[in-house]
Parts: sequence; C-alpha cells; structure tokens
Amino acid sequence: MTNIDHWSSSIDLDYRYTAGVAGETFLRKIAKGRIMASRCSYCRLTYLPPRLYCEKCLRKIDTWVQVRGKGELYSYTMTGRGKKKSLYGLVKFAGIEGGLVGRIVGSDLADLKFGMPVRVDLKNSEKGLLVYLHV
Amino acid sequence: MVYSGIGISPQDVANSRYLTVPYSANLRYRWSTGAAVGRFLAELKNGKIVGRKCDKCKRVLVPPRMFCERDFIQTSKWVYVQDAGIVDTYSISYIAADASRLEKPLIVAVIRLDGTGEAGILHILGGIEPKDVMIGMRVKAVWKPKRRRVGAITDIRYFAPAGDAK
Repeated sequence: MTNIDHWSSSIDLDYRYTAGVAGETFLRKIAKGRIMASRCSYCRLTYLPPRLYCEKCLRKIDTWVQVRGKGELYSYTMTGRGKKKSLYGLVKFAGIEGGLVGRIVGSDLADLKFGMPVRVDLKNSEKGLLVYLHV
Repeated sequence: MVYSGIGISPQDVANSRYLTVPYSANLRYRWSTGAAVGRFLAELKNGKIVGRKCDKCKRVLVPPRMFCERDFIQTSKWVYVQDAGIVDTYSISYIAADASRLEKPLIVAVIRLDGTGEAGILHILGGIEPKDVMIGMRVKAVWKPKRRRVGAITDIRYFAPAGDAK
C-alpha cells in the first residue's frame, strides 16, 4: 500500500461586494460630482465616507450634507516601481470625520506638505470613478 | 434597537438595482498529508479506518497522528478501528461549503468510532431526517463503491443509522 502523500484542490470564491445603504448613496452622488457625508443629528458628528450608523451613539443616521470647498492634505504616499510612480493623498475636511483618498496630480513629492489646501476633482471613466487631488 | 437589513435578490443583481463589484478568486493548494494521514487516506481507499495508538494514555487517535499531543511521546502502532460508532455531537447546516443556501440541510456530526475511546471524526449523516438525530445514536459508514474511492475522507459517503446492532 502506498501512502497518499499530498492532497491537491482549490477553493473557488465568487462574490459580489455591495457598498451598503450609505455607500450606495455616496457612490451615486459622487458620480454626479457631489461629495456627500452623513451627519448624526444627536452627536453632531459628520462622517465621510458616510456611515448609516453613528459610531459614537450607534443611532441610525438620516441626515446628509454636501461637502464643499477645499480640504487639507492630511497624509500622502508615493507608490510604484521604476519611473512609473504615483502620488496618493488623504484629504480631510474641516469638521468632518474621515476623508477621501485620491490620486495627487500636477505636483511632485517635493511640493507636498501636510495641511496644504487641496481641491478635489471627480471624474467618471471606463475604469470607474477617479478622484484627483490638486494641491 | 433592531434595524433590519435590506435583502438583495438575484433579480436585483440582474437588473443592476444596486451597485456591486464582482470578484472571483481561485485559491489552489497542495497539502502535504504527512506519514500518519498519508496512510489513513490510503487505507480509506481500501475501505478501512486506521488509527495510531499511544501506549501511555491508551488512546487510539483517528485521524492518526504520529505524536500524542497529550503525553508528548510518539504513538507506537497502527490499529484498525470499526467503521461504526456513536454520534458525539451534531449540527444541522443550511449552508453548503461554498456558503450557498441549502433547501435540504446537511447534518454535520462528530462520530466516535468504536475502538477509539474519546476520539471523534467529523463527517455527515445520511439516511436520516434532522429531527430524528440524537446524540449517542449508533451509526455506520456508508462507503462509495471501491472503484470510485480516491483515498479521501469522502470515500465514506456518510454515516447512517445502524440500529441497536453493535
């Protein structure tokens, strides 16, 4: 009798990610160029990306506010190999929890500073939504 | 406070009612069985269940291990055990291995084979309705025909009620 020394198989995972109730609204609005945040009317906390439930009081949120104006560059990083490098940044807005991640265009690494004002530019493409950050 | 969720039907997906991102991953693997399980699987192909005995605690380990994790010594010999035993514990699962919903549930059970003492193997029960399953009931292996066995735990199709006969 010969031992069976190994077992070969595979695990197939097929799934569909949904954005959730708040995420669905966020994505549909952002496709139209509007950045929407959700606000808890009890805690006065505003969430971006929006949440359906307040993380502080756990109440359901049904108030939406549009995020307007410039944000500030909270953090940034450079990714890529060789000559093909990209800059990405996290933008925060005054009085809002969270922020948006996007690709920084029209600037070099040396130009970037924490806290500098950032203009967000949303573009729909075949690849999906692109978030461009201009500093 | 209870907030109910929103169900999404296959029609909703087909009609693109909600935004979704599909993703597929195929995770291929090759698992090295080792000396003990390697022989265990080969024996299953022959319709036999083999374990390893620890001389100190006298347990027969099924599936076999070359080492007794209780006594920190090597197990000493191969011992054939019966393909029948009792249901130690069980669970009625309406979810298949790929997480799809099942109309007819699987009955997953830990079966303590005769001659093993406290050890139990995980398998499924067949030939019985979920409501009739009881802890302690006697069950016996229902094997695949010999030519269809490949040396896998699924060479046993399921365990079925064995009445009171031992």
